[in-house]
Order: sequence, then structure tokens, then C-alpha cells
Amino acid sequence: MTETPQERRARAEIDELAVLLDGVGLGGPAPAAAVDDDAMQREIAAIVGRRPAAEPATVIPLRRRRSPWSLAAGVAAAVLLAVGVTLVPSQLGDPPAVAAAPPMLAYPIDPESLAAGEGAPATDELTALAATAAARVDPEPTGTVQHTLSQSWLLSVEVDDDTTTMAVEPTIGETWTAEDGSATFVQWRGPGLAPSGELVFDQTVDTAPDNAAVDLLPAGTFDAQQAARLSRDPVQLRAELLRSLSMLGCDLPDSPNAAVCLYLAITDLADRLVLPADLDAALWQVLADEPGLTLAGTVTDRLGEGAVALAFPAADWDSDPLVRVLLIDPSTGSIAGREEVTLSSELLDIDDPTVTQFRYDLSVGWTDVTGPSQG
Amino acid sequence: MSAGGDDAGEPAAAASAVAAFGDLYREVAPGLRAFVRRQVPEEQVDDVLAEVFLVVWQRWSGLPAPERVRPWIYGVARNKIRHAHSQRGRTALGADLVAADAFVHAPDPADGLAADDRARRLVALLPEAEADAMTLTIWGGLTATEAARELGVSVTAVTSRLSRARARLATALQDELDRDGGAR
Repeated sequence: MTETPQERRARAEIDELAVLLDGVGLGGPAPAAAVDDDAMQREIAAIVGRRPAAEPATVIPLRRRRSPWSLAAGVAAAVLLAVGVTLVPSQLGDPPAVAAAPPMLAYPIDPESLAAGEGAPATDELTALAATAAARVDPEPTGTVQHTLSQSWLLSVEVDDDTTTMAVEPTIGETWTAEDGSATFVQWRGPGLAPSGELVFDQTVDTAPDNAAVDLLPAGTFDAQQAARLSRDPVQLRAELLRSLSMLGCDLPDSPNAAVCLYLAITDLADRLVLPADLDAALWQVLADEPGLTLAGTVTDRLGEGAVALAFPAADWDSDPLVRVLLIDPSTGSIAGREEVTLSSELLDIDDPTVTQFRYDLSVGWTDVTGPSQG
Repeated sequence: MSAGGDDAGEPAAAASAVAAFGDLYREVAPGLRAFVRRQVPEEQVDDVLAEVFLVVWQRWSGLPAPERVRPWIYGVARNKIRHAHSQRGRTALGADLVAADAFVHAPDPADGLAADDRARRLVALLPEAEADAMTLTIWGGLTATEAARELGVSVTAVTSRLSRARARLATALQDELDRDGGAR
């Protein structure tokens, strides 16, 4: 098979790195130790003697949340922000260690200008991202359940009979969406951020079941095949995405909120499903042709990686001025994360642009378990 | 093929699966053990290796095409190594290794333990994305295309991660040389 230019460049890079590491005796695979046949036979026997793979791994029974699930800002908060609220301590497990807002990413344009649509047009950048995504090779699925693991700061909303309470809190979330549309959503309190605003991974996070908030959603709740079924034609795909949020009037002709609607529809998909490369390519082509969104530059995201930032204007249902930012990994054309910056809010007692939400997917892929497993 | 049971009267197909699994284990495990040993503490190597091959056994009826099995196994190993790091605290592990002793002198190539120890120190210097790209290609022997597939990224992304890793390691190794030169 002919080597592509990308493969040729990669091979050259591998060779150079191997030469560098060869200087310290690490320029290739480590030599394998001498084989002990008896020990190896015992190892093999121990593995094949375990429970057959046909049975799913045991799912830990988790405490069910009392109140309705509140996902990242998206649709739920868009509706709930219209209700009078009171800030209260976290509803998740232990009390929050830190309540400060996350540091802002270093956008080349200030958030107010982004919110006013003063960023550069994003068409060329999105077209390039679409090409990158189209060239991406996705790993083969290793199961039929779609799994996401994310770290976020979320606007948590709890609705009681007569009050609605909100808090912004660090959260680790996992979702499992099965073939039949059932889903398990689990959230734990997350660690704080590094002073730079980057996510940290070396703090102990208590992911014991007792500290988790969980929702178990029955079969048919979601369309698990939605990512596969969506059209790859940009015009048709746009229509399908807007139709999915018809409850917000997103499918109305000439909706002034079309760009935000697309942001919400795309992020809702990405929160639960594995988006294949060709769908990512089609999504960026949809956005490339969408007026209203602008380029917020290339930033270092909270994982320390470079990301292309796209700014979406506020919707007319947003009670506070804000800008939503979608972050795309330029090396893969996949979503890296997203951020929301609220410019001011009486409700949240905010006078200056403040990060009120972000989410980064740490892992997205296919699995054969449907929830947290033993061991 | 189906996962085997442990009854004396197990079906011939299951026995065949066990035998084939055993062959694959003997072929891949020694090299994979060496790969893992360069990235996790010695006391965790057996557990990581066992977890990897348990996944292989559980997926036996749905393994990738034969030419992709080995890269896929190394991709699974990468996930298990990450899990081991997150349980230990990856940054804490790196800090432990660096604090315990700054870089050792170039080890005697015959001294496998020292080489593994040094390998762990070097890997701990890299962000995970760069470490994955480097370890899978240089130490795992995967091509860039194979590594890209297992990491779920493009070949271009692998190249850029390798380039960044090379720059970081070159700096670290030069710093070590400078320290050695200053110590003399």
C-alpha cells in the first residue's frame, strides 16, 4: 500500500524520536524477559477461568436522584432561567470546596466583543475543520453502549414545589446510552481547577456510589442511533438539528436564534453520543454556512491543548447577556469542549464577564457496560 | 468463536477458543509486559497485564481483523495504563519519580530495571496525549496509522504529538547532560 504524505511525515518523526531516545537506550520496544512457560500457563488459565464475557459487568446500584436531572445549561436552563431563583449550596454530595468562577480562557477578543459578533467570520476555519474531520479514522467500536466521561463546571438547578435553586459547581459526569435508548447518567463532585484555569487530574475525587447523583432513564428515552441516522448533507442536517429543538421555536423559518439552536443541538448530541468523523465533518459544514457565529480565535483549552473557538450569539430567550463558545480540536475536527461566558447577571450577582459553565469530554467511545462497574 | 467455560465437557468450539487465546497470549504478552513495565510501577505490571488480556478474552468473539489485533491490544493497554495512572495520581507519580532521584546516568543497557525506571521518569514528563503517541509508536512498535486508529485521532495529530514529545524530551535530556557536566 502506498504511503501517504501524512504517513511519511509521521514515520520521519518517529525515526527522529527513536534516534533521540536511542541515546538513552530507550529508542525501541523494551526487550521481553525470558518466558516462564508454567507461569504463563497459569496466567492464561486465570483469565479464561473467569466469568464469560456474554454476561454484562455488574452495575453498582446507585442512589436515584429525587429531583429531575439538570443537564448543562442547554435547553433545561434556557427554560428554567426564566424562574426566580436563589443561590444555595451545592446539591451534590459533599459541600463544594471552592465556589469561585473559573478563570477565563485567553481569547484574543474580549467576551463583550465576541457577544456583539465582532469576531472574524468563521467560514474558512470551519471548512478546514470539516476537511480534517472527514479525514479522521475513528477506532472500531468495542461494544454497543455509547459512553462519555466529562469534567465540567455546571449550572445545577434543583426544582422543588415552590423554589428553584441553582449553583455553579465542578462536576465529573459519565453517561452510558444503550442501544435501546436507555441511559445511565452519573455525576460526582469534581476537583477544583489549577490557578491557570486548566483541569487537574491529580486530585483524589471520591467517586463512591454514595457520593454520586444518578439518573436511570428507561428504554426509548433517547434515540441511540441518532448520530448514525442524521443526514450528512449539510442542508438536510441543519433542518434535522433545528427540528430536534422545535420546543424552542428553532424550526421556525428565519428564526433569529438559529445559530444558538445549532449550538444546543450539537452539544446535546455530543453530551451523550459518539459522533463519527463524517458527522463531525457535516456539522462543521453546516456551521460554515450559518450566519451569526464568529471566530473567537485559537485558544489553549482547559486540557492544555490548542482549540479553535467559535462564538455564538445569545438567544432571545437568554435573560442575561452571554456568549457561548464551542471549542474544536484542530488536529481531529472533533469537539474538544465548550464554555459559556455570562457578561452580567443580576440573578447570579455578576458584574463582569464570568465563566458560568464549561464542559470537556475526557473520554468518548463505545463500551459493553451500561454503568459504573465493580473493580 | 465464543468465550470458554471451565467445565470438563466444554464444547469443542470453546476449547478451540481457549487454545487460540493461549497462543495469542504467548505471542503478545512478553512484549506487552515489557511495554507496560516502562510506564507503571513494577508492582502494578501484573495487574495491568491481566486486565488487558481479560478484555481480550471478553471480546474474543468480536476481535478486530487479524492484522489489527496487536495494535488494538496495545490500545487497550494504553487505556489500562491510564487508569492505573489516574488511580495513583499521574502527576503525583511523576513528582515521586523525579523527587526520588533526578535523572540517573545513562543506564547499562544490560540493566533492565534501571532502564525501565528511567523510561517511567521520561514518560511522566509528557502530557498524556504526547506520552500515548510516543509509547505506542516507539515502545509499542505501532505505525503512526495504527496508533492514530487506537487513539481515535488523525495521523497528523499523532505526528504533532510526537514532535512536541521529542522537543520536550530533548530539552529534558539536555538538562540532564548539563547537570552531569556541572557535577563533574
